[in-house]
Amino acid sequence: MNRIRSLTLWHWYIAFAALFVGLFFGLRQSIARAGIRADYDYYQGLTLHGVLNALVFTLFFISGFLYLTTEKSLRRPLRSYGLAWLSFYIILLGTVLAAVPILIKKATVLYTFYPPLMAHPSFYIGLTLVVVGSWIANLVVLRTYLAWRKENPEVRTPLMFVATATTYILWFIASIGVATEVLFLLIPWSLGWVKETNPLLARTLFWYFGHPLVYFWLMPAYLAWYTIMPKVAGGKLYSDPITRLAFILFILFSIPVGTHHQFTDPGISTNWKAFHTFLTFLVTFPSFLTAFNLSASFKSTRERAMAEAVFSDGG
Amino acid sequence: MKIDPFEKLAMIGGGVLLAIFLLAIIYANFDLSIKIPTCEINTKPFTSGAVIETSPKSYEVHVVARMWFFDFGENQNEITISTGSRVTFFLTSADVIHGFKIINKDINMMAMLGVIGRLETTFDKPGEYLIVCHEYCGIGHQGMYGKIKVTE
Repeated sequence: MNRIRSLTLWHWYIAFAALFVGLFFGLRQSIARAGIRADYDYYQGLTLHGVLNALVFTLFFISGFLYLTTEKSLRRPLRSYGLAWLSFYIILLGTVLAAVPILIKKATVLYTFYPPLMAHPSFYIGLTLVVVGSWIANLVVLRTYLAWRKENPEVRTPLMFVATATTYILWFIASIGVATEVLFLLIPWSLGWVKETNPLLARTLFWYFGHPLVYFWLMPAYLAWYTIMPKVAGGKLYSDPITRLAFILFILFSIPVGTHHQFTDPGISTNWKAFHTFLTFLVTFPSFLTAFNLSASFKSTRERAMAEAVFSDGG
Repeated sequence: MKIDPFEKLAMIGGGVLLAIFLLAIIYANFDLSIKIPTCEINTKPFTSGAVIETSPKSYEVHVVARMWFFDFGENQNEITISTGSRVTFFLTSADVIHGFKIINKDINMMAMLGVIGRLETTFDKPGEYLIVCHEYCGIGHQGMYGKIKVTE
């Protein structure tokens, strides 16, 4: 148990260290904007605080959290700790490689890094390592599940693990977009191997990743709402099968939604934009199920508590 | 599988809301005719700005956005037209991605190298319309602007 404790805590230490560095640069941005210090670079701050807070903080926090929920829900050790730590160090190395060029003003491209605004190759290579490291974390969780499944062939997958797996499946599908963009378009181009790049394609691939990324941030909260909160309230979840349905829908509805971030872009037809907008709205449905399920869990918990109180008073 | 009646109600509610959203998109698209750029394949590529008067009070305006300037032709970052003019903007970029937003008008586009954005609008009221770049484009981004002067 101590192994998981230190693994999760180290992920969270780095997560919050990144968050506070990001916040510090956010503060410098306001000072620059207020005109107090002209030498503070507003856009550099915006880039660093975007990358650290939106990508690094969230990824480290969620990775640590999901290792914990994997062990808790499957009641077996991760397979393996060596791989999990390898993932940790690769993401950390990637973060440093991406942060250094930002700090020396060689990568002031914001966290969306749209080409043809070019950053130092180290920025793109760092981002690639961050994504590759996260895939190793996905692999650890997958291998742990497969081992658990072998040991428990007849048992239904615990809900907490369904939520964990959903979060990582969503991340994996989304990150294919940004990995393709960085590996095939941006790294060869920033190293000078190819002369040209494709701004529209890069932007499309970025938002293929960028929109589901937001769901990736939300999913751990959903996990906690569905599997931890009803327990904390002293009851249990109202409807297990509908919860599983909601998680499957979150995966499906997170895929073709990116072009609604590109309404004002040329080169993409209006029909695709409208279609993606509607697909984006579909996420309303599992969200509604969630809102219902949680309220119903609390209500039934309270009713049970009241009934018990009546019985104990009467007895 | 037996579904709880309240749960069924929540699912139906979610479905109805989705239907309303879908109708809202269709309404915005067709009835309010909210305009967004589409895939533009019939315009010849251009590398410098130009203002072409196709008929009285009707213009085709080619704009090339570049660091950190909107080029309407001959290095001008503003144009002057008369009230009631109908203008079709053709927008592209010479370098990085730029934004092209006309304040208080229904024009909002991204300028991208190798692709052309097209939108049209009518200037019914005289005045000065400010155009701002609203996509980060490097160190001079905040100073990138253009103007449309609409005379009486």
